[in-house]
Amino acid sequence: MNYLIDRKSGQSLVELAAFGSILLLCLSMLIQYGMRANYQQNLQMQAFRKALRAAYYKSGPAAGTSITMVHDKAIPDPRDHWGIAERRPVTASASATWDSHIQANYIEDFASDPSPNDLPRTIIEINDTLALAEASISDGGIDNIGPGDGAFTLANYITDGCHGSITMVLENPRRTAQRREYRSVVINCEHILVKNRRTSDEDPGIEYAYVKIDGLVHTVLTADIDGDGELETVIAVRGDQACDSEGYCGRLAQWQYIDHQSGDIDSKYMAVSPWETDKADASLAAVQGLVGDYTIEKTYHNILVNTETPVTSTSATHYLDAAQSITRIIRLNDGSELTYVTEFRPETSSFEWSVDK
Amino acid sequence: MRRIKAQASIEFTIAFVSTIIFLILACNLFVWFNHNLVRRQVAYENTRVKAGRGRPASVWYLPGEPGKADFFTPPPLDIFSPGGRK
Repeated sequence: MNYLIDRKSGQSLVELAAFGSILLLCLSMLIQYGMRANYQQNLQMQAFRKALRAAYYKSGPAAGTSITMVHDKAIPDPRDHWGIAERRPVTASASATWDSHIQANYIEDFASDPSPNDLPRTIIEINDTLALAEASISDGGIDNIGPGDGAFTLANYITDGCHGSITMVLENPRRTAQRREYRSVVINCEHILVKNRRTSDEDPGIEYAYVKIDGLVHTVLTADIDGDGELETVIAVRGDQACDSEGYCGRLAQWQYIDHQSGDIDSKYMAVSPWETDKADASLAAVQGLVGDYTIEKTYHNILVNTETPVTSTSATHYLDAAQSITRIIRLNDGSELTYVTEFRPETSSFEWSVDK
Repeated sequence: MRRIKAQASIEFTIAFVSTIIFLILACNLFVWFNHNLVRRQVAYENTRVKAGRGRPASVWYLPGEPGKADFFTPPPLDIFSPGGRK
């Protein structure tokens, strides 16, 4: 035994073998990092172009599209078993707004009903499949995203009268501005008036709602109309009488507004961070849209078949059958959940060795 | 025990050369990854004006769609040529 220990030959090669494994580990980490960076960049580019494409169809006052993409990529990791790269999620999201409709504002005519397709929406794509459309877009690409296909709406148009009182958020005038620049005020519906901004007789103008508080005129752009504690965006109003020569249209009779809490997904809860305790249901259960948690189920079958013929030969065949199933959940505003399962079963292979005796 | 002269030096030379080749391989591989990020970004920037014109769907993909071969194809990996084969 001492003979073996005392031998010095091969020491460097032994050290290379020992430290070589560490070098291989470093190399695999580099490959993992590089692949992830490339996938991430690619997906981010795709996400923005797709959001741009989807926003192209939209022309409403609240036009805007956001897209979330999740692709489960096989990224090798030295910790993976059996040499099978585990699927790891690469995510990207982007939002785009086409033309000048950056912000909802009053539309020209109360009678021209806005299209539901013009509401802000979100598209969720999981492994090349649109969440709602269940259609693969790997071949057809972004063209498959039509005006409303595969998209969850983030709001709804609502036409209603004004009942009781509403809450508005007003900016403090500069001379009275103290620590808080905004204040909320409760206004009785009877005090909301409608006027038409008409520049000439040919111009039909736009009717808008306003209130006069402490001698200052405030246009009603956003208000908590339905009393849910969140602001709605007013896009059109109608007075209770025909507009007179000075544009006065009487008290508010009806208004049309965008309720951001009544769509398929309440965008307020799409990304609740733990520190946002002011959001009443700031817990994972209240998160809407694509839930960050997912389940991955891995099934590996390894079969080794050994065939031995005495005297002549021996052979062994190794069969590998691996499947990975990933389940994701999209939570909707009404409390229901949509479940999407993607199964990957590409890792089927066999290796055969044979030796002639 | 018979002393083997310069055995350690010979082994060190073999191991050192192997290690250096391995490091070059690792560095060039990562440089290739890095160059692909830059090249893909160039392809993206070059097509952003076309992508923002809002043409009909039939000609939308003139600049190519990110993630597809006509948009960007990485050069073949050559482990002894930083950034891939020219």
